[in-house]
Amino acid sequence: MHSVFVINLIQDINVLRPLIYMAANDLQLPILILVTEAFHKRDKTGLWQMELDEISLGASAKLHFFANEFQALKILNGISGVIIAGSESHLNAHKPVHDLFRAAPSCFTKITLQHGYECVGFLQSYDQDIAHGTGITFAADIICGWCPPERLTAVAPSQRHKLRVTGPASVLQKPSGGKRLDIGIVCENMHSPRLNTRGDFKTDFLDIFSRYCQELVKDERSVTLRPHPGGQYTIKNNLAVARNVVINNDPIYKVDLSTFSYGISAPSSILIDMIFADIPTAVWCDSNAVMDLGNYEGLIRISSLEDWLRFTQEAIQRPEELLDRQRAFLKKQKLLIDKDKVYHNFASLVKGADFCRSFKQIDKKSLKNC
Amino acid sequence: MKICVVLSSEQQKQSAGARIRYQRLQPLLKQRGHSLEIQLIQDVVGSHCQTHDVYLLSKCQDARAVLLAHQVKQAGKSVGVDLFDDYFSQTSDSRFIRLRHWLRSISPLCSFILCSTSGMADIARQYAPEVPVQILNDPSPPVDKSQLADLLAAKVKNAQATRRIDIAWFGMGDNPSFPVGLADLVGFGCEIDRLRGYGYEVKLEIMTNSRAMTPDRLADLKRLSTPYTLSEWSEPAEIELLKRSLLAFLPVNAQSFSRVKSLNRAVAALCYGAQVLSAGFPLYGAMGSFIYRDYNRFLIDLDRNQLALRNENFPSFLNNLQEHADLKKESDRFVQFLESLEVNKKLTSQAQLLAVIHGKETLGDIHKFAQKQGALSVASPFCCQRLNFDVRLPFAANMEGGLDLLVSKNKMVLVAPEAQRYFTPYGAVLSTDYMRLNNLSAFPEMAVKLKSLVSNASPAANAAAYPLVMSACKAILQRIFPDIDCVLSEESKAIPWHWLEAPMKSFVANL
Repeated sequence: MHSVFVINLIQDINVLRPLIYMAANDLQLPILILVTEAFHKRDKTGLWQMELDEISLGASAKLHFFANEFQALKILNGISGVIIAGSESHLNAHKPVHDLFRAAPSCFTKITLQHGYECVGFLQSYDQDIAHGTGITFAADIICGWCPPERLTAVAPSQRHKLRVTGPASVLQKPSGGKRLDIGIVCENMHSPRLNTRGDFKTDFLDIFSRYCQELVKDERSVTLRPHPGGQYTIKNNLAVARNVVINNDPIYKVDLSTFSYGISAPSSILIDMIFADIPTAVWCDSNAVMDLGNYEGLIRISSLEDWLRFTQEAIQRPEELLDRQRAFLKKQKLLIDKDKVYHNFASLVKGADFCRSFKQIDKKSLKNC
Repeated sequence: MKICVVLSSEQQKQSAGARIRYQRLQPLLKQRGHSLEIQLIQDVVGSHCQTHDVYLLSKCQDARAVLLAHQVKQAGKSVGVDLFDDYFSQTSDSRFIRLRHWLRSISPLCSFILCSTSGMADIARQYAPEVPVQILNDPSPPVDKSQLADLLAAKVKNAQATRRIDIAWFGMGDNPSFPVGLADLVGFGCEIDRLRGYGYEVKLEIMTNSRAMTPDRLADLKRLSTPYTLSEWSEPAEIELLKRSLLAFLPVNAQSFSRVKSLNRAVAALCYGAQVLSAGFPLYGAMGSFIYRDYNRFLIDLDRNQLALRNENFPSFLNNLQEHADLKKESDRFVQFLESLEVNKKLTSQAQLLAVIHGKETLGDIHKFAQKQGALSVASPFCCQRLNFDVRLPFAANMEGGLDLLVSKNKMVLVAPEAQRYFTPYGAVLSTDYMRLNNLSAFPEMAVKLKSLVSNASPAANAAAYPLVMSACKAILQRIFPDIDCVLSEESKAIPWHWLEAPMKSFVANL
């Protein structure tokens, strides 16, 4: 039996990486990584190709590129197992994977992962509803969600039977143990439909971030800015940033978020990563509160410069108060974040029923390796 | 006799039509002192229209073919079209109205029509009852009897020893307009699924063109219960596939397009030693008992070692081939037929000036071809191509002005002497200098006041204006250039094509 992983978006690497290691090192399965042509176009700097090379070396995986479904089918010819995709749906951006899933032989079980907290076809904001519609369908046999069905309100009725709650794979690869620094992190996802569908909120965000940096300069403080790995708005648009801004563009699994003293972002899954890393986290809201932040209800919301500065001060001086609030938020979301449970869910899914019987004997090497 | 087969593109040289219908004939015709040359239409210009005795237009279904047919006819040579795909009998299907118009336009110019099957010939006769129609069956590949006998015996032995039936499905998997190929395979796939459960493992190899392997079709293939592998088609790979397969599965659906297809797939399969199981429309009925229509019969014959195509049936098989796909017979009949046309070919018309009127959608190649052939390339008000046309018929700048007429300075010699005095210099458009017709009162055809409709982006408004404007264009050209004949170059489907099927006179009368 083979484990086949499909990489199409840049973010897919982050989503699939822990599972590739798990399937290779713990489950001892032969690994194939299929990479779409679109991925190459997206990876303009070649950084992510290097990451892929590193992963395929670490998992003894064979890396294949495909331009169309027939090429992929030739690679899959004569083998069977599971095909796991980090992102797949009928939407255009996911089409190469969707079409591969449709064409893949039935000796493969096709699995699609929820690849973000707010994720099309799983849990959507109103802005995503407008941008993509509400009837998202998958070609996968199984879709893996982060929360129980009642929280995943965007799963279309026709897809509900495919849903299996595994939790997010990212909990299997959290870097930790670093020393907390006196610096915060701000993440931008200005390419996202959330910031573009019902208005241009990018300008608002850039303006306030710029003024925020100027205020920090007065106190001789710095801030880290992290562009979204797929969007890369700051980099692609060559935006000038203040001298006290440090750009962090490393893969998220190589960034120890727990070392930052606080985190700020517009609605994005990075907020959940920040909460997992147990740092005070605030969600940015546009000045007219047009963006839908309903799925982040319970988190600290900041909008004006005063809000940003007040939050920064509180995060440094009284983090516990904020952290308590975040823990309550997490509990309300019913997110499955227990590392062992998540591991078990994915392992049993990949290996199938046989694996469940022998699960206890498996040395969880991949947890260490990640 | 020198025959020139005219194709529309380099790609077409690799098509099944070119390979099977023309290339197989070439050596034999040469042996008999004739020649068959394959040329691209853009190369058959000027004196090339006179170098051969017969010009056969194959899948050149645009204004170039009509223009070439005119030229060849004027040169006193025979010209014909080869029809082997039916895009003409679906008279209620608006997608093919352009092609129906093309066949109607070209058939009066043809000395003959060649067809691949009797069904296709029936359709051709409906369009051109006066034109002689000849059937040229697709000739079979060469058959080596002893090799074929060995191959057949080995296949049966292997199937019985391994208890495995290797099935081939091969050929074009798609068509832009009709569900064929892989759609037929999926539709009739249950017929090969039925071979399972009788003590044989059944394996299917699908070999098709890469264009056909779309996600939708690949997803459809998953409906087959029989395990299959998929590979990309090439001619050598097809031959190898047939040589190693015990059975070729050839399902045919009963739509008009499929009903008039030739026997070539069944003939190829049998000649390379594969038995044939067909399902659906009985297209291969002419091959008689060599075609299985019942999976059960095939299984019984396999167990009894009495398959339809076997050593002792060879005489009957060869007779059948001779009747329906014999290279010598087909080529002799073809030449005989062409020679019989020689009597008529001297009845040619006088050299005549031709014009190609470009409509909404045209091709730069057609413009170039027209000019190379010495015809006028004319831009109608609908034509948006930026080309150096010989004649332009734009709408006048003011809304009420009707049409303007610009004639390239180089072509003014062709203008009727009595009209020449109405032209004054206009200036250049792109790199061509034009003269403009000024005295509109002398040319009432120019007063087509439909500019507002044509400039409206709505397809309905455009469609409403099209017949009158194009009729006016033709009428103007006929007044300015004496004895001109016009050919329409129009690729758009969004025009009222039915207008062309009605006499143009009635529209002109309305002006």
